Amino acid sequence: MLVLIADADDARARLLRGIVARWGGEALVVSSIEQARSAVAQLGARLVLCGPSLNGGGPELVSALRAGDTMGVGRVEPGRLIVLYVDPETLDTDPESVMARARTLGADDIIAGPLDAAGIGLRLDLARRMLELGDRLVEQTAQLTAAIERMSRDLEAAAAMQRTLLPPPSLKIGPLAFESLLAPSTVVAGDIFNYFRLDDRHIAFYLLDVAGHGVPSAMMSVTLSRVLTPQAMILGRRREDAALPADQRIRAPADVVAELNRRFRFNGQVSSYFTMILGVFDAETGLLRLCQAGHPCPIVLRPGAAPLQIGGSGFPVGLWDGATFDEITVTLQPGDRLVLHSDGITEAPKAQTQALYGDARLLSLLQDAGDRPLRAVLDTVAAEALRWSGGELSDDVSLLAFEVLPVGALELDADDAIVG
Amino acid sequence: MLMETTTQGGVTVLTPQIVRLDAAVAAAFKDAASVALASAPPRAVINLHTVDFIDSSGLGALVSVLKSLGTNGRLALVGVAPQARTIFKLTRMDQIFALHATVNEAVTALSN
Repeated sequence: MLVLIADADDARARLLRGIVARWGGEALVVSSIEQARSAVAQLGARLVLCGPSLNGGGPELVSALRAGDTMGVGRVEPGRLIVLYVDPETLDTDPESVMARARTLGADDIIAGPLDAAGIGLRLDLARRMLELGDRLVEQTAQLTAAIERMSRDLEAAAAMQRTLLPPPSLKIGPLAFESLLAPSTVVAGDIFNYFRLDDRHIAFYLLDVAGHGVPSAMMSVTLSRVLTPQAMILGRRREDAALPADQRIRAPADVVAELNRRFRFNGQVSSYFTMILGVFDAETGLLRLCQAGHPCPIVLRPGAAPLQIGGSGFPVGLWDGATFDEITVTLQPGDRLVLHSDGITEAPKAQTQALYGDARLLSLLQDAGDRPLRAVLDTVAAEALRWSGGELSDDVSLLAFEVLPVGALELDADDAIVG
Repeated sequence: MLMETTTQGGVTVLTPQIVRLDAAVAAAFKDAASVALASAPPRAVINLHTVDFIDSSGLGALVSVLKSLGTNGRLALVGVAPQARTIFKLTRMDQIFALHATVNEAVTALSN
């Protein structure tokens, strides 16, 4: 290892050179601060024995090296360069001494008193170990940084993939004008939703919230969105089902949820269960059939009436084997709105007090929103949840809503995909 | 996580010293409970009087503990705070767990 001896006193430099050679190092003697700086910058010297009689000043060299005045190598962190200050004549007791100044300026160690080969060898051993540790730290930091960047990119890619599973945030399907919103608390979300046409009169929609947060919940939500397709809502897998008239082939939401409860059984992992609302709307009769599985109650907004929570309770899906699932029905009329939300809104804790946002505040916010466009209402609710949480969501916030359009708008759009 | 364990009338009573039973502590809670209940009879009370918030992870952890007691296992909960009661009702977990006001009441119910 190259050891730079920076001292203009020939006799002391010679003595130090001998000690360094016996220690097993390669000594280079310089006599001025400029030479020392250039040795550090150009030869990459990392271990410096600095004496008091250096031209330009020993303490000044320590100060220059620590300040990064090393001819372009940049600021030198402890661990990249070790400076041992050697002064056999001065004892380190006087606060004004050069030695005290060198120490204040950032020397890593001071060697006072008569030069002793064994003592200096020990300091050099320590210095070399420190440099090796510093190198390892730099290497590991680079590896960690690379690993974190790789994981962040993966997570961003997963989030982008998850977003592709969401429907357009504003979508008209038959007489229903859907609006939705998803604000994940981390990059990926455990909340997911969708809406789609089942046949020429039935429209299905769901909003679900996988327990827990982060990647495990997000993976489960992606799996579920792949399972909850129009085909899953329509009978037809058995031959006798295929013979049914089209309008009798729509499965009851509670049956679909019960099947999910059998398929996704609790395995002790929190992200193996979820809460959801699954609904089917009959555009011909206005009948809405819903299954509420442990999820916050749907809210019906009827012009001129107070917001109304419907349903009440239900088992989550995948938590309890023997769970049974009920159906809620409500007949909607043009102008009615339905709002589904995740508990990321109502269970949002206030930053300082931990007080929950709660149902009452949400209902009053919806009441105040009156007949403003549904898009604006959802944006307001999400902004309010964020504001309540002090600008940082602790859980995913998702909202799915629709408005039943007036009868005149009932004609089917030719563009709507019909699955049958 | 500190989990106080006592036995009362042949029933194991667990008192976790936590304020929130959420994603941050759910796994530790589950582990501590399974250690405490490993050699205990399948009847247990969890005293939640210090807990003022339970989220979906906490609910999952409680169900895990109940399932770990086996098919004959019975688990009663004591001191469930209003917020958690709302969650229990919403998810019908009030039909799965017996909720009691006091440890004595829960122990008596489990002893019958």
